[in-house]
Amino acid sequence: MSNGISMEIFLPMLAIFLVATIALGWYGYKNTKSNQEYLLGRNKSNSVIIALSYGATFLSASAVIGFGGQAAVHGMSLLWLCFLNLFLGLFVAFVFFGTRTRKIGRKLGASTFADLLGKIYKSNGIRAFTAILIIVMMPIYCAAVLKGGVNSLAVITGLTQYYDLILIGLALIVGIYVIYGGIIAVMYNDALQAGIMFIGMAVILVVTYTTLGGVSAANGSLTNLWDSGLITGAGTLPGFDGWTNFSEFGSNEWLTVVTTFLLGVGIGALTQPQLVVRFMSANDDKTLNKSMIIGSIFMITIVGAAYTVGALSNVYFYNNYGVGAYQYLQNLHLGTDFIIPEFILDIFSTVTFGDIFVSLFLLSLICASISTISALMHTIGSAGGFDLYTLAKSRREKKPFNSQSIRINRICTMIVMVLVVVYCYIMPSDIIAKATSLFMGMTAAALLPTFAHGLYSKKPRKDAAVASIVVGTASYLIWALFINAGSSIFLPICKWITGSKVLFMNSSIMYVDALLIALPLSIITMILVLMLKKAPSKIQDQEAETVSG
Amino acid sequence: MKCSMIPLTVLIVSTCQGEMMNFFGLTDPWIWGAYVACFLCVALCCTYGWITRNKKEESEDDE
Repeated sequence: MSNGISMEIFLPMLAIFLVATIALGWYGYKNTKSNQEYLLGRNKSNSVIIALSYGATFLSASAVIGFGGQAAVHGMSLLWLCFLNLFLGLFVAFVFFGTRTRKIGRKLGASTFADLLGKIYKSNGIRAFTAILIIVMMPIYCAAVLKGGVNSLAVITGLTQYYDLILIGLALIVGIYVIYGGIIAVMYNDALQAGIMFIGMAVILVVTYTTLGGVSAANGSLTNLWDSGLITGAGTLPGFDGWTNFSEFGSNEWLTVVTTFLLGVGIGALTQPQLVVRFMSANDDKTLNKSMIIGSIFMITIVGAAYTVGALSNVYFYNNYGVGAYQYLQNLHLGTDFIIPEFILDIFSTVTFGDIFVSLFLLSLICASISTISALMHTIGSAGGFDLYTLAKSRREKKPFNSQSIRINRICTMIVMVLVVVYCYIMPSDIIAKATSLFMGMTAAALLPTFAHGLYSKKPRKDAAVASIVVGTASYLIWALFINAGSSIFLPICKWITGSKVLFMNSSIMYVDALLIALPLSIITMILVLMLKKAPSKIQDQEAETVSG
Repeated sequence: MKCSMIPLTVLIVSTCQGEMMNFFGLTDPWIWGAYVACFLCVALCCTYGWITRNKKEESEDDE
């Protein structure tokens, strides 16, 4: 095991990065004159900024560290998540959701995702529910991302004894520029961070393949590790068939990889409130369309490199230590979330100018973390400081009210920052990928049919939306807390009530992600309500005809 | 059956066994297929983005 990086190289790089971050935060602060600019920053967005901001927000340390670590355990089948990120998270999101979101959002004067849904359905209830969902669930995802960044920083610098200090320091840096700079600071910093991430991940991919003897040789060696029985699939479930083979269809391993990692995150990307805001920040459709070019190249580089390198780390660890990645980290009493940082530190210790590359990678991981955390903090802060505050004041004063207070947003964001740090301490370890999947799955199950119906229906039906939200949320929570083994650990209600971790222990059903059940139910509910119950206006028309007849 | 191999460095099709397809050292079509799908998706995004980069805006009233 290596003993951390050269501080003589890393600290100056970090200092330059922090100066740039603060400068962009200041730029955001100077250009934020109204609450609209704090929330959307339309006047300062262009296709490059939107592409990089979208990509950097979407792909956090969770993607690199969390899912990269999972790729080391479960293998290259996670490349399908890269495909889903590109196809659903980028192409479908921009072409089928982005342009309509932008137009409708602008037409209705919406500033946040909750505001958009509330205005589409003319429902304060839907707006309040969406805001509360964001405030309750998003900090879990945010804390997972923060933990990912801190884990890397602590392991690579060798400063694990300063874990608490790094955690609070990172949260403070992000919190300050989000609180003062608003969305403009968030998006411009995202773009800077995306650039660093791109270079860092590209270098790592090249170095990994070069070290392992080239693309075909490295992939062949990985296949051989399993085929020759050199190492076992430690950390996997029955049905695992090696790192370069997809697991056996329908097996426990297959269910975990496909339903939790691939579908949970792949589909969930469509209803991410922090990403929807990026669409509303665009000035026109052309900006969004052009963003896809840079966005797709950025995403395949970051995610493709992370998952490929994650799986290949097994070859490296076997060649050098005689064990696979999972086993190697177990021997160090560390979990899957530490595989990528440890691998990077180790592989670059043998490379010329390795310290510079490790510093670059570490910086790119910090960037990956804070770009996402900043967007999440901004979204959660807006849900409280704009959506809920607006609704509460409207209710109290009994007249329509639209909050224009940047101050309230800033106070809420500050509270969120503290809440996220607290979450980091109460969350279980090795949870980054699962926490990401939980949040994305929950939002998709609850809001995807409502969001799609709202965008594509000429007369969106509030009753159908409410029914879909209720069924999607309830079924997701029941399945996640009582049936699925992976998600029940977040809030072990089942264990408190029944004494058992989940209701059906030793059954394959405990590996099925809640999204696979809740999303179809949510869609079916919406369709049934739309088909079975006529729209109020139609009923009124028919009643009028009957009276006049 | 006589075995004939196509000497390609990138793509090796083993016609003698009829099921081995080696793509950069990967043999499972579900794995190399994922890589191919990723690159096709990038091509799709880039093509769409390029073609529509100057597309005339639809009327806002259409919504």
